[in-house]
Amino acid sequence: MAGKQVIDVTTNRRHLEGLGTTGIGVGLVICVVGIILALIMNSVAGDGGHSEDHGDHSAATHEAGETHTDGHDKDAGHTDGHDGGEGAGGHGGGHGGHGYIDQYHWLHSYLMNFCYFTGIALAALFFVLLHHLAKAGWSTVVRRLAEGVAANIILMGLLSIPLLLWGDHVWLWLVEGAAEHDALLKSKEPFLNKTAWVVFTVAVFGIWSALVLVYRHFSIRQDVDGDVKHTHVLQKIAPPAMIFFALSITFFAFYYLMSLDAHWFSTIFGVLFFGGSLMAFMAFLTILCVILQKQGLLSTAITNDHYHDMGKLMFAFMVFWTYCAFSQYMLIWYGNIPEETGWFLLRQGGEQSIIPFTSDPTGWITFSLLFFVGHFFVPFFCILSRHVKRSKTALSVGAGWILFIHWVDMYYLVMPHVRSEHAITEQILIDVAFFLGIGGLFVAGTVFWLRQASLIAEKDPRLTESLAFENV
Amino acid sequence: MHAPATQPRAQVKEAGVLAEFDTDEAIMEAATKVRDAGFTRWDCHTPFPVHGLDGAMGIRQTILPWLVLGAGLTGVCAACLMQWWMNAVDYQFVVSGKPMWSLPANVPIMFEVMVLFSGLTAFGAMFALNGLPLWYKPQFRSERFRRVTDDKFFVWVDARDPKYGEATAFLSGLGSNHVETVKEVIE
Repeated sequence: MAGKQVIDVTTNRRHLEGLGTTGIGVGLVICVVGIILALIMNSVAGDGGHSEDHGDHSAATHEAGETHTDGHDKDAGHTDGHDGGEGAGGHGGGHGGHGYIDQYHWLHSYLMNFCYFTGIALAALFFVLLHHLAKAGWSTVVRRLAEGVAANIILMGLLSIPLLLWGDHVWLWLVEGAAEHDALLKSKEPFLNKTAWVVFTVAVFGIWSALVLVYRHFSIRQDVDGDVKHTHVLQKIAPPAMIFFALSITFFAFYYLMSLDAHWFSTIFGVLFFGGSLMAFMAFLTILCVILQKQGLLSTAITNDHYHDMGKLMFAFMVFWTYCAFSQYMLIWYGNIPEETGWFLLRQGGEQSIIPFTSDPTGWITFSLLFFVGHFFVPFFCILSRHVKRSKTALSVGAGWILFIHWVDMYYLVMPHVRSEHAITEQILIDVAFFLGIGGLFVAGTVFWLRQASLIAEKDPRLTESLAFENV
Repeated sequence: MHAPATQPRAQVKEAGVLAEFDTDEAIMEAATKVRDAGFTRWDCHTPFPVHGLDGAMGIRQTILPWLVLGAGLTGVCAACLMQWWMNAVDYQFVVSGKPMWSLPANVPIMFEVMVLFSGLTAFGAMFALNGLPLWYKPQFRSERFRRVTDDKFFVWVDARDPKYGEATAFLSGLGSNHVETVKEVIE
């Protein structure tokens, strides 16, 4: 481009080399810290070990038939809904006296952090697909990084095994015979049954992994031969892959998060999970770029104009999430139909406490409001300005906040479904432990994939365009 | 367009200087030098958007975003106030058993009014800040200037620029292949 210095990518350091080992090491150390923290928390738990039998699940479902019929009254509706609908409903009750960690809280922590990181990896896959679908130019310099993050889907697939093994402690509908006395579960059985769920999980993780490997394979092949036909192949796969992606992430969210309350449904739920995840991925990518550039990698290839665009997408999907979240809330609030309101009533103070060392459930409404402020108003005014988006330091702060608030989002989705006699936040360290454990693996995985090839798509036909990219 | 005809009572006055360049690189370089020489009332005309020209010309950031932000926030507040007045004060009416004034129901309207105010402000302020509508520029008097929509690049220094006196000599020294003074007829 005229007047602007043409960036020569070959003058940039583009391989992790020794940093790769360091990165994997750091990731594994974080993971080990998480595991140790989890084990310490577990030993504090004393007699509430995992080996304890978890009672008769189906007993909890007996009343479910009447669950939402008399739910017009706030309290009654909620109490019944809790007994019948939520996955955790059957577990906590009747286990009084066990220690610090409520039984299977750890599995909910695991689920929450599993969904957090799976969402980020899936959003990375989406970013790569979108790049090819739209024949995007600007994103070429960061696409290899996104491919690396997306490849963690394979890791996340392996990490789904504990959930496949112990899922019936989280999702009540998985319990043998749960649907027998529950008309709603009965009618949903073709979807909410163990076989369908296992097949779905294996299939989607398999196909996602295959897609990632295909996109990485051709992208890296192009580094060597510079053949434009690789780009054409990937562009051809992109449209059907995108349709599959849209459906699969929606049903992933339905299975793993929405079915925690199997009686409840919201058609926009999958979109919400996708929007939040993509927002978090853009934040993750921003921070990844900043860290790499701090280490002297890709130092001139990624410019403020690229950060500006990453910031724009982060901002856009933050607003998109808010739009969807509010749409979901407002329709349910306005309609005020018992079978729909139960999910929100849990989050406005049902039975479970969120204020440590109390049994006061009213903290949930404050938490929900603060969460909404933190998920919309704070980042809105933080990254609205172009000056922020064009400053690495300022945008990193915004990105850090976004990653945090997306974690809170997962907390908000999963934790109200833990039936606990203690305030839920007393076990926050367990949630943090699993965040570190899975997060450490995620970081190590990202570095593992990134160090196998150049950090930039060396001979991509649109690399020149991307290097010269400018936001006017 | 024809050169200005000299009519008896019409007064002819210099409107500015046009310097023609062949490439975008050349006009970028020229713009940088004109900027550094301290000219204030001048402009560049190109057949297509030239990236980085804003910086080379030293154009300040527009205040448009701040106007739009202000208008958007005004819209939110106005819509909120309007609905409060209508629903909770002036004409109280129970809708689906909700409180007279319930914020969630007001949010869609607040959002729409914010969009309306922001959009109209962006549209109107863009026109105002750019001095639009503007039907005529003295540059159009130049025959050669027609090629600005095809393949030529022009730097224009307005006669009202305090340093206008040096403009012709300065522009000639920038490697322009043609510098001309454009005259304007004042009725």
